[in-house]
Amino acid sequence: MLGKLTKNSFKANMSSVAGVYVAMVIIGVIMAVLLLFDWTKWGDMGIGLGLVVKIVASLALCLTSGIGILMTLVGIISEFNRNMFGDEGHLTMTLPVKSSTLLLSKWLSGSFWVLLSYFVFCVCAFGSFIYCVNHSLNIVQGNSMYYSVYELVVQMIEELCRASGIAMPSMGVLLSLASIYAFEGAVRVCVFVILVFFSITISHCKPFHKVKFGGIIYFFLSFFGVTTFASMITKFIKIYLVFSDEFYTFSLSQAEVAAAWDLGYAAYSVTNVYCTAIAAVFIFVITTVLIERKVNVS
Amino acid sequence: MAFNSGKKKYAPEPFSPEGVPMASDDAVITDGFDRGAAVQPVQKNDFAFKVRNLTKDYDGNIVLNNISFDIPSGKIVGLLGPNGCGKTTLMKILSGLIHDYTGMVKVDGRPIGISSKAHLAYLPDCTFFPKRFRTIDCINYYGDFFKDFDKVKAVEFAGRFGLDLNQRVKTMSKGMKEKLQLLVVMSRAADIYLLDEPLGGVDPAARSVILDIIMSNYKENATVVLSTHLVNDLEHSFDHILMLGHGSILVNTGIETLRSTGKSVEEIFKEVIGDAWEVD
Repeated sequence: MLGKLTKNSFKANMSSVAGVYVAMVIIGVIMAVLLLFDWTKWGDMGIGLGLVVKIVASLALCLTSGIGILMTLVGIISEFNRNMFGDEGHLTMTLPVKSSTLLLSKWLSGSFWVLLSYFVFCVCAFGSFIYCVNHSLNIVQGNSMYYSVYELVVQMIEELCRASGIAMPSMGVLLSLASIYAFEGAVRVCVFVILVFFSITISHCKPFHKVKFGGIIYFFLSFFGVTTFASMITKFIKIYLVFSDEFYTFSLSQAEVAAAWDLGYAAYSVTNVYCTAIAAVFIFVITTVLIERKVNVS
Repeated sequence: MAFNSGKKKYAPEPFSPEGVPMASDDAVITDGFDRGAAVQPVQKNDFAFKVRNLTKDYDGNIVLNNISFDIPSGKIVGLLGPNGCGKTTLMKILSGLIHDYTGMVKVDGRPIGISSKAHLAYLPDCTFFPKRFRTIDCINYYGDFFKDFDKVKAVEFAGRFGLDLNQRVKTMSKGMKEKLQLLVVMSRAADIYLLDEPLGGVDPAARSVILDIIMSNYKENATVVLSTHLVNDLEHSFDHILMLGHGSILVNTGIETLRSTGKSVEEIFKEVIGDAWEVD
């Protein structure tokens, strides 16, 4: 049942954002076509014009991907509201499935689409930056695009390490760190989505339904509650994951963490994200109970 | 769960000396009609619905006021009453869409939950399919979630109603949407059908087709509860009548008992409902 519900929810969310992704693909194709042009043929004016055209196309792509995030959020909120508590709720809430399964399907689908929209935005923003810089590099140095991108990224990381006063970690450690941060981002997106669903649900419960713009207020209150909870716990219990290419270990000492960075290892604080995830599970359970016992389909 | 807040206000069921549950006196009709079967000692699952001390209000406006009744299994039940008397609210409670009520509700001997939902086919008075769905998507959706759903029958019904399998809900008229919803609900072999105003938005010509589909396609021995204003069109189909008014049960009796008074259901409806709506 979870699979079928998730599939339906996934399709519903997709229908609300499909247009934005089509627009992004079209802009991406235009940008790719622009790469094929040899702007140097028209001298300095051509180079300048090429840069302007590429910047405009890049901005359009970034803007569209930003709109994609907004559209995704609006889409999952309206789909959840309509599908659970609106007219469609007459069908959804009479299905012989547990409320937890129903909510989990919405959570999985909503989180996927929000994650995708963030990912696409990051790729578009970074890609556009590289795209425009590459234009200059190609003209000045005659480098191939892939070589330039790699060089540029490594150079940026080196600059960052130098500015922070730490040793440059190996590429393996950097990739692991990037994966961990990507995982944390995914967890935080999932937490965000369940908080949104919780806020919508509670705004349909007595006596909370009487508050105007209750959903928004409850979202900020619950977000503040979860953040405060995670921060409080992190203040008292600091657990770090210290790792390199060869090993990983957990540490409670900040001195060890500082030393690890100096040695080219990486360290990551796990307490906050764990606490946030635990709070999200708790919120999920509360939302399930509310759906099962308190909320009416209007 | 049906019990939720109702637990605290639930009064124990009255039992006959043999230990068999029987209808509470709260189900007694106030208009002098014989309640017949409703007060006879019966076996536990002889009732499709068992409702005790049910109260529901909307922001202080009491819609259902401490009502108790039983609906016998295997009957076609007419749920009648004027606008705003709580018919839809009652149906929503029975189908598990409304939770903030007090009292106890049992569907086919079960508390409201996954099990009761699996055996109950509910047709609301609004469009519940997403607008992006095509007719075939609606049929597949029901097929995915209800084990008792007959896809072949649904496709056949769609043909009878003249519905294109690839037409989207957003392009359908109100009547077409109602037909679509009715066909998926009646393609289930459920134990209980709850149909909220199934003839409300369709033209008189389609009414007889719809009525025919309802009457000839529900599962044998199933209970069909129909809420309607069109008493005249349906009175010959009912086995049992439940009339609501002023937040109370005004009539809860078998059709034979009603007919023995020599009046039609419509006449009794006007009489009883008219009394209920008189201003003091």
